[in-house]
Amino acid sequence: MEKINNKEAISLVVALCTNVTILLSSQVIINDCSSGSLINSCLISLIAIALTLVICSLYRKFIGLNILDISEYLGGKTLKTIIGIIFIIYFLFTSSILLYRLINCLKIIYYPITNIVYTVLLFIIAVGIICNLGNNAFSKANYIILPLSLLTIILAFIGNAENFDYENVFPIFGNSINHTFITGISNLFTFGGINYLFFLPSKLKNPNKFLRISVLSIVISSIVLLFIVTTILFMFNANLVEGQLFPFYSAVRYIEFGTFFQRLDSAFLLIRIISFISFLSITSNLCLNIFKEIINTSDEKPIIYPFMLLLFSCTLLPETIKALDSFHLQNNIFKFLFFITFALGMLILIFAKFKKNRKESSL
Amino acid sequence: MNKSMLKVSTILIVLFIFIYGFSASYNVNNIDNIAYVTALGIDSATDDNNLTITFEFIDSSAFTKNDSSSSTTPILDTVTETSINSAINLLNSYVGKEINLSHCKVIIFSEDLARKGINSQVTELMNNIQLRPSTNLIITKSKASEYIKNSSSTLEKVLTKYYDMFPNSSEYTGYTSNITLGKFYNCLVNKYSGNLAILGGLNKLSSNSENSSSNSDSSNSSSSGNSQSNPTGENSESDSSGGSSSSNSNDSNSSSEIKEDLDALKKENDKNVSAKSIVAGKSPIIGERGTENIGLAVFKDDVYINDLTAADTLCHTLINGEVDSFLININNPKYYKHYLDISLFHNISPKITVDTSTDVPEINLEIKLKGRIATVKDNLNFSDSRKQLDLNQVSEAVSRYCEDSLKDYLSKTTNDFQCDIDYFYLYAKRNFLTNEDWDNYDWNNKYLNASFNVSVNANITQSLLNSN
Repeated sequence: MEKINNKEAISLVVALCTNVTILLSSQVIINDCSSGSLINSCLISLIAIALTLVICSLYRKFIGLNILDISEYLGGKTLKTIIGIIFIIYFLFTSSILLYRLINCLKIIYYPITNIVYTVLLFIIAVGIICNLGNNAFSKANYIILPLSLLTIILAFIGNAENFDYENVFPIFGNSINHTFITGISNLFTFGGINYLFFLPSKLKNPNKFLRISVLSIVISSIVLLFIVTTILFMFNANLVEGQLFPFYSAVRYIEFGTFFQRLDSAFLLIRIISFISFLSITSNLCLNIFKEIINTSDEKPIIYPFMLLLFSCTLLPETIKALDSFHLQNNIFKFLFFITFALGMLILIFAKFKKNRKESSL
Repeated sequence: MNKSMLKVSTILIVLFIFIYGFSASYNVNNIDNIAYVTALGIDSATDDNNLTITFEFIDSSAFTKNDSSSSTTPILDTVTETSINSAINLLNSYVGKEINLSHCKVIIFSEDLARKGINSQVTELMNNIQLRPSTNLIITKSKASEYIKNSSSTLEKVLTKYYDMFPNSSEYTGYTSNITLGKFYNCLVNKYSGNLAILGGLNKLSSNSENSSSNSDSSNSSSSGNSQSNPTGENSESDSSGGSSSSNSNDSNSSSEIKEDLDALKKENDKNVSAKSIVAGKSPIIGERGTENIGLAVFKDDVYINDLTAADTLCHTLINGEVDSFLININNPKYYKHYLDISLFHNISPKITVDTSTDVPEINLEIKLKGRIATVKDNLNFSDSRKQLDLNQVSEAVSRYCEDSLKDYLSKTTNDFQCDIDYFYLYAKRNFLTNEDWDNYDWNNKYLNASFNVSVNANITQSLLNSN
């Protein structure tokens, strides 16, 4: 497998975090913390950076290995399979939740009559083609698309500056100190890209730079989070940030540069779609790699189409099970899966480190 | 060969699936099948539960490749229905094209409807994905349908451009404000502030109105069914209610009566030249344009309660930093012994602090202005040795005049409107740590007793081309 360079690695993690932030977590943070959202975003950013440092320090003993290799070292093939399946479930379900939200938004705005199946299919086929290309086409594509995606976020911030109500940041602690500082920590799921860090070392051309790559990517993701939350918070009253459309898109609808540059939301949505296809290809590729490692096969192409079918089915689940078509339930599933996988990853790293230390001391 | 054939056929099948899947949405969004609305007027119908909605369309086929700036006559359609969406639905079948609001520039509510509350209509509009949040919101003193009929500008032929530009005058006059649907809705869901909309009305003295009155008379006398646009809402109501038979019987007198009415109106408006009393529909302007937008409509919750005059609106825009430059005239010996017109520039945002340590919030407002003398009457000479002293006196006079105007306006907000329309609550919130503490403070009631410390610091320079 072709390895990826440092810049590509950073862009992969940032793309994962950015898409979660725009499509889901920014809305969750503002609903939970109201005017305290900025403080909460700063807090979870600091925690995310601290956790990244912990992961990197634990990985010092396992340079160039991913979490599956470490689980195999710790608990053999069985543990490796269990961990692999749990991570596949995490990436599969979170991707399908986000895809469903984006598709719903597109349906409201552009395709009111088109059956949602066709729109989902469009994304799935695009991702299938990227996965089929192999040779890390997804990371190279993402490396090109990400700057464009970040540029739209910065432009949305600048373009909306004249509409900002800077006083929306008060009362500074939002709904309550408890909401902002304690229960608000659950918003750490914004940094979904942290879970990708468990698989990154084995993909890197230069695994020794893992610490630098990880910290830099989480710092960039934190800045992106602050830009997005600030834009939404300063634009809207906190109790307005609900509904089917993701609030960052609603904010972009207000941008007008004079009377000539208006309706920039269409361009924003186009870039978001491309960026999301890139996001889906990253998660799909990772799931395929995990699956490949679990079943010990050298060629992943035969499993691409079954996996795409699985992603397609998961995305359409809320269409058949209406209970899943709830923002709060989707958000809770996302949080639950994130914390389970993250905790498992950390526990395996900690226990594996103990095992290695014990082995080294016994030698 | 077989492999490439398989690839080609797969691609073709996928293409066919997508063409089939997306063709329905393409047909809906196809420009040939869409009728774009440029303005939407909403009146209350005779049945209180219904709405009379006027749609203004532009005939896009009238724009040619070579001349996209030529004026086109707008097409007006009116529907009476229970809601805006129902009206759109009904009109779709009448027009034969799908009504699309994505190019709608203004939404006009009639005063009658606004006094009953427009929460449901505004929410309905905000939930329409086609409508931009930057669409302007106007409350008209006349019927919304009459406002749309008369809404045209001789200086700007393209109606959509005119709708784009008319709120811009707020930046250099302060007599109106660029209130959008998004801003209005934001305030509507906010329980701590009042709300504002652009105030519009018919220019009763416009030559269009006079012509249309006479046209109306002549058309009524010649054909009973043809009703033309009328100068005022009142006239239109009398026409519609009276019908052709009653108008025919009044033919001999009506023309002279209208002229007399207009003359009386002109005389009345000639007296009404102070910004403190000018509002849309009662201005001393005579022009080609049939409508005017001066002042703002004040809402408490979703109910229209009162108007801000031109001078009040200037105070509001000054407090909120919306106006860049404006002109005031000082014609009161209390402030200065001679008549002065002063051009003022508002380059620095006002400094606002709110002290909530007691039950009576203390609102401190500090405004810095720079200005120049625009008009001097009474042959004053500023170029003599007393020039410096005199300019200081003028600066002092302007500061005191602005302070008094602002204090009058602010006491109006607490006593008459009884709501915070200048968003002081945003500054008061700074003093609280959590939303719960802020809610417990009960801003809405405390604001009614608020005390205001207004300080205006005007720095006036002469800069007259001819100083004598």
